[in-house]
Amino acid sequence: MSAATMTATAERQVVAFRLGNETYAIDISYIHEIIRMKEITFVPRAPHYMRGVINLRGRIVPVMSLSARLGLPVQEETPQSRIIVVEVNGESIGMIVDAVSEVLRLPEDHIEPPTQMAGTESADYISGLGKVNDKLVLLLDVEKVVEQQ
Amino acid sequence: MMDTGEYIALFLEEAAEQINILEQDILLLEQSPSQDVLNEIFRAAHTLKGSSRAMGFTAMGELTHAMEDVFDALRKGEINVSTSLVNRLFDALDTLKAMRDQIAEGGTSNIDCDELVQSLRNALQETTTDISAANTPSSAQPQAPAELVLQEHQREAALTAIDNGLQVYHFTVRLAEDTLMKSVRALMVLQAIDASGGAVIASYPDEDALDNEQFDDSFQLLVATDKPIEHLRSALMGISEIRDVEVSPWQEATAAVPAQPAPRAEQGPQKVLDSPVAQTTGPRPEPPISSEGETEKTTSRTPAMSQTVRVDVARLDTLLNLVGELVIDRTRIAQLGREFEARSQHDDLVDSLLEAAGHIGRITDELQEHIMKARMLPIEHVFNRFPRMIRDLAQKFGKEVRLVMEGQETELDRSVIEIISDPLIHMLRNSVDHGIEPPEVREAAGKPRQGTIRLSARHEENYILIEIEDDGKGMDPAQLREVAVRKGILTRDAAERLSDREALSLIFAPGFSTAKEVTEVSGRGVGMDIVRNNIQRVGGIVDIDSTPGQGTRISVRLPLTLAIIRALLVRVNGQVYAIPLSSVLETLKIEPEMVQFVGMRPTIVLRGRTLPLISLKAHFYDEDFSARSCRGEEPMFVVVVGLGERQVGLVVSHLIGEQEIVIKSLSRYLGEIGGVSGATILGDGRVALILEVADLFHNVSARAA
Repeated sequence: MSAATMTATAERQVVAFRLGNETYAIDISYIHEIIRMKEITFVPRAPHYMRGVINLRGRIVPVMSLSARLGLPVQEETPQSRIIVVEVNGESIGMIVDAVSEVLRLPEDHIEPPTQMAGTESADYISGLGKVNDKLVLLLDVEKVVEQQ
Repeated sequence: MMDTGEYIALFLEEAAEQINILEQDILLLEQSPSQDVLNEIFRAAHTLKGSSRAMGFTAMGELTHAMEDVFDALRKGEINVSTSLVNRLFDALDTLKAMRDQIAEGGTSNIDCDELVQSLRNALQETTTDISAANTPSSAQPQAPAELVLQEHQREAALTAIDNGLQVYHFTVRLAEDTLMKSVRALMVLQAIDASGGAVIASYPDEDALDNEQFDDSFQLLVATDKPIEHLRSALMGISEIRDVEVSPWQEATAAVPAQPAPRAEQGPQKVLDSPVAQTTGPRPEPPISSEGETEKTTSRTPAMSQTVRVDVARLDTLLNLVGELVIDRTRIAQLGREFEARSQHDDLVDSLLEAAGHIGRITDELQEHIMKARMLPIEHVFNRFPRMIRDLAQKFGKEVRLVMEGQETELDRSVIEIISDPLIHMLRNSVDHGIEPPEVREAAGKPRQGTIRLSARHEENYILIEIEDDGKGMDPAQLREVAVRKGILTRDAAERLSDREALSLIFAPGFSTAKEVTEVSGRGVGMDIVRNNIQRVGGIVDIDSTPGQGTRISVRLPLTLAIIRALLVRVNGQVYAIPLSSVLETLKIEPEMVQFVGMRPTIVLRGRTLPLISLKAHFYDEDFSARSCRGEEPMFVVVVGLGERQVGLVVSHLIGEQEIVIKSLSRYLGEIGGVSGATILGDGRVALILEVADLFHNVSARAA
């Protein structure tokens, strides 16, 4: 295979998950691990979308509700709910999602800039739109999501 | 080129060490030049010259070479120590530091030092005809002092002291030739020994003669102490007009054979300690007594060969974290053991489990203790730079200041050392700038021209106590009240109600500064409030005490470590919180009807004093803590916490118990959480938040205002 074709078929590996009825995805390089829901210790006076902290094998990791962060309606917790622990700038943070679906390979040329999202509340946190088998996947800008404004 | 990175790291570390030695010794040189100091300083400059040349830092090599030449000339008595020479040496030293820092950052240094080198070379030309006594090694002085002859009861006392594990030293104190009030100096020496933990057994001439100035330039003392000898020596050297203090361990033989002063006069004090004669002639086979002081001396200066290894700090931090995990698991295992025990009455397996758990517990405790110790550094790492700083500040402000430091060997965790450094600098600056008066003012007030700042550190229970004491003009509570009112910090009424002690604490209020004009040094906007905040953030306490006209004393109490603390666990709204035990004064169980409302603030009366209450539930969960919600039928628990003079009661739902906890920081993604300093993992794996008591106090004050 020549270098040219390599570039043409460059793809991104992402983990796709569900928030409500929508499918979102995070670049796999950010992901530290995905765990089941566990007891979260509430931290008073933290930003409203923060659910608290968990003990991740001796480390104390903050956990946010991703839905609350993106301004989406927050779903009830179900057996499918998961915490995706990402690592950004050397610090871990957990995000509660409604279900983790699969690892996807998104060819770069199937990713569009999020222009059609403009105006919605979560638009700021979306870095691109991917299409997989007619399904729309919203790629999250993880660094923006974890930073406090 | 391949390995230079590694070599540079080594070089930088060594350079820092040598620069440090140079700094201390140049100061010593100014205060009391001795041949020992000159030799050491020469060696340090020589080492630095060699290594910087080897690494190809020629400018640095050039500069150290010039310094080395100056030290050599000083050593040979060709030139004299003068303030201007010391200033030049300090300039050179600062340039060396800057060069070192540049190399640390970018691998090279481009600082030009030709001018400095020239100025040092010039100093060599300025030879003086008068080689004063101050510059000549003590051995050249022909005054072989008369020997201290012990009376029977004094000899008994000395032997008893040795039997009790103390060490007995023979001091020869020499005063500067032109000392005016010799008896005063002698008295100060006696007091300094007393204050530094020494007991004077005998003196020659006797104390009456010392009082009446019936002695020449030197006198001798026999002192028993359990403190390191350097400690006493440096306390004495801190007294002005003391030219030299010679110390040797006392042994019975020394006293019995009075014809022995010759070797002592010829050799430096250290030599005497080394001397095999001194050890073998003693009738008692107790060389450790004399060698102990010596070991301390050598380890503090010249690194001992195989006894120590350098360990990366990050590695120690990792070790401590791992031990922290172990502490959590230990608690967990012990808890599991108790649960099993409760389930099955007599089971050998459970017994074995409990036994193993107990053993793990003990081992973990020991491991923890040793790793904590490995992280300890003597506070001299912070103190070291103060003599130079005080000297420069005093010069700048035209004041005469003597810095006396005690307890430099006191050890504390390096994390605490990092935090305490800036507050101490700030407080010392304040002392020089605002505390100590100009020499003329002091003289007019009948004080010595030279002011004294005493900086001391010592262990006290689970704390380290650092005190900064000056004999300056002190603070006037009335004036502080006045300023607070003028600056709008307090209403006149509120100010009048403050006790004098509380008024002194006003200097910690934000926006409070009593300096008439903002000076370059003290008035740069970081006030005492920042100092106090920094100290409180690590669980420390600052206290202030002052007498107008006589001076000010600031005491700082710090925990020995920040990593693992004892805490009281409480439950609030179903969740566990940890309150550092260091701030807990007592716990109470109260009935709801005991709560009274003063304005909007709930209080109770405890032993005749009103105690404001903070409901943690109200504070953290925005729930209403009003008369209505108090009227529940259940009793409430109150944890009384103290911060300096102030106390407040924290209302909690349940008290759980005391436990050792490992402090972990909260992610910055959570933002600043008022009232919470961190988190810890409990024995059952759940997370508990650690309360920051100082923050809660702010909360009370904010509401009160």
